[in-house]
Amino acid sequence: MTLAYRMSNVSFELGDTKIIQNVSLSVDSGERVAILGASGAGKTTLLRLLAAQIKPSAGDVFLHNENTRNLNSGAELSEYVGVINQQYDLIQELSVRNNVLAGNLGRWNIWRSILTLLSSIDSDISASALERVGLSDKTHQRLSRLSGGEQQRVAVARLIVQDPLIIIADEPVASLDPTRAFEIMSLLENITSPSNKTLIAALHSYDLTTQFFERVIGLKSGKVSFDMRVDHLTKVDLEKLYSVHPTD
Amino acid sequence: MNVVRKVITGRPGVVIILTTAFLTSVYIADWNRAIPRSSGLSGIYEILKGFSQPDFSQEFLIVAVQATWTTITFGTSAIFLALVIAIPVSFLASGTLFRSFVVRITSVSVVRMFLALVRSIHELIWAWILAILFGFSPMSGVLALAIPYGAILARVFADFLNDVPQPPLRALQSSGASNIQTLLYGRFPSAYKDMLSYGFYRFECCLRSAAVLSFIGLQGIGYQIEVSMQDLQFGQVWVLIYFLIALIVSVDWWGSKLRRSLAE
Repeated sequence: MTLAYRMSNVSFELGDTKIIQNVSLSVDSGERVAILGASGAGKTTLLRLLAAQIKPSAGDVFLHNENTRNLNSGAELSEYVGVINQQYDLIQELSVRNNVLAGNLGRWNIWRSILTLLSSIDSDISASALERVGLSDKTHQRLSRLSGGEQQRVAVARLIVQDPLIIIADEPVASLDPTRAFEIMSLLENITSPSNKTLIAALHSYDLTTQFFERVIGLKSGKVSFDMRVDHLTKVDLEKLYSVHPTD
Repeated sequence: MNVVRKVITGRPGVVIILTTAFLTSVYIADWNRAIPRSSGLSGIYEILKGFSQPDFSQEFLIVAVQATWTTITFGTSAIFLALVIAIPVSFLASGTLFRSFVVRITSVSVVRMFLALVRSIHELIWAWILAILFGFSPMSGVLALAIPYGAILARVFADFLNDVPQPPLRALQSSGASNIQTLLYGRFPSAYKDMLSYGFYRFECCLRSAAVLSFIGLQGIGYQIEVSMQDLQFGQVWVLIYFLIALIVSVDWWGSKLRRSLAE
């Protein structure tokens, strides 16, 4: 089994604040990992380190055996990692189609990008991705007309087009109601599991964690508090993780 | 040193500089000369009389319509040329095209300094400079407006492009977008409404300036106002002012209608 990630003693500091402290972990390719932790625990920073959007202050992050320090954002990185966030992730003024096709930007040169923006070329690609997320009828709408749940489906469709090896999801369902949240998580599972893609997501929900993930990492004050198989996770573990006072 | 710098660049600095400038101007101004001339009152009477007797004769209306049309074409070509200059230059002035920090800072500071230089010269002075170069021709007039307006638009457009919310742009970059692709798919679509809105406001200003600048080889509204003033035909002056107001109000109306249709 190849490793998707290997982190050794990784820290990340912003000024004098240590946001991530000496985190070491590895993730197998194809694994589905949930990251839990209270707000401010460092989940977003950890995910941005994994997505190679920021570089560690100390230690190294290896992504499919490549040190993320040598990976610059752009075309090469987009083959490895795709990112989906809570919201505000899409371009409101563009059509649904163009937002979905933006998943191809890493493969396209500048002229191809302009051509796609101005013509209806590649509509079959966006149509099949939108069909998979159940939004076939919204192709030509402006994105701002869609509801929050629909917008998150568009973000998933963009990931389908991008087709990376790893998907990093930072609270992808935080602003959605339970039914919408379940739907989005199912979609993320559908686009990762069959093709053996790695899925790493920050969440707050015990139910979604146990339903969709096989491994869970608890993060507290920038440190790994626990790292276990989901079947071993108890609500007591969660209460400890979210408690204000240090109980462990 | 730090305290000094904070006072100069911070809010107290601005307040001190503006207050000092105002007080100095009050002291320097020669208030004795501000007494109205004795002929001034009768001049105002003549102007007000013209207001009550506007010249709506058919032949003068034709003159006014022609002058307005000249001003429209003059202002429109100037703003169009200004936009053609401003959009690509704003890309450079925003520094968003370059990944390397050194190249970005150089591009931003050089281009912005150049824009500040061009902007600091008023369109009237550009008109004089260009009239020396090309004579009193329509081209001088259009360029005299397009150059400073292009610089103002480029500067403001660059700020709009820089101020776009970052998370969607980061998401585009994680999809593999290069800087120029991020500009085309993210920054520009997110900023274009603000750009359009400001562009329309500048179009209004441009038409006003075009009316004034029409002494440069163009028979626009400003030129006709000057002619009627010299003939002491205040009834005609008022008609021309009505046309100018109608022009500005319609551009304003058109602009807000367009903005609304885009917002839907």
